[in-house]
Amino acid sequence: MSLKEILYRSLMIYFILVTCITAGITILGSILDPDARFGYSAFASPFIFAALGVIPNLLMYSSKELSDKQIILRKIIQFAVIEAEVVVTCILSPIIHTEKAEVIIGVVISVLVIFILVNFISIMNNYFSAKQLTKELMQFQKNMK
Amino acid sequence: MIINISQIKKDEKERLEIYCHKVSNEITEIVRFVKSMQGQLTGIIEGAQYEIPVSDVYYIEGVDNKVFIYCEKQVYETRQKLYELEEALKEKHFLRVSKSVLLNLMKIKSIKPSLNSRFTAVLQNGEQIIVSRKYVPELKKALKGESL
Repeated sequence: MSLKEILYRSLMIYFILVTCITAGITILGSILDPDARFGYSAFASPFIFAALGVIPNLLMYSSKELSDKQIILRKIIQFAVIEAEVVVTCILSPIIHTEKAEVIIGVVISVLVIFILVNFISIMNNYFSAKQLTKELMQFQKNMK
Repeated sequence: MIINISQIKKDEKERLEIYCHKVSNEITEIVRFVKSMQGQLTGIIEGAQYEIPVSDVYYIEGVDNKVFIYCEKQVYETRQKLYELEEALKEKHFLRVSKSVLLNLMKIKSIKPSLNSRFTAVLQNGEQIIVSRKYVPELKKALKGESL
């Protein structure tokens, strides 16, 4: 993928991440800390975490065409970097009670779920594009015969 | 070399004649180019030359400075460069789908998604060719008949 493609894709992923993180915080918060109250600054956290999550997407950049194995390896590294970033940020944050083990576990699982969800959305988008391309291909072949 | 182009009547057959002292590599290349424009490619297997109809070609691949023509079951080597073939075959429904592959759009059975937003073209003989993301817009245009 070229740098331009990566940046365009990162922007799309960023907004998907903002939505998923907001949903993740709502679900996780209502289970682990339902009585917590926040100020307006809390609204910024999905944007901040989405930015943290999208930066490792640069790991997918390569001037050469990557093989499937290289893509899978880079995805694993990308996931590990995101987990590390988010967990460290949570530990450094004064408003997240990371002294509770279940909070850390919840964060780790949330990152995994969001990572899978974002990739799933991307795969589904690709699946529908492929289906549309096949349809157009059939029409093209019919017209050219 | 003197080049003469003469317009002939519509009922006369079009022809290309080359008058040369020796059939050099350049002359052979001109002949190959004209043949490929007419829908014929020259392929080599173990030193023997074969005429291949373009409609039988599934894809053409460049590997380590060599170019190979892939048909349903047979693989031929060709002395033509990939960019030359790309130029000569663009009117014959061939499209570059990655840095090293020219694909015959008429031989694709279906397109399926692949990793990292790429696509895989499944050919009629079951072979699979990766379509790089970079060439997907070209493929979309070609299927809409915009660039062919």
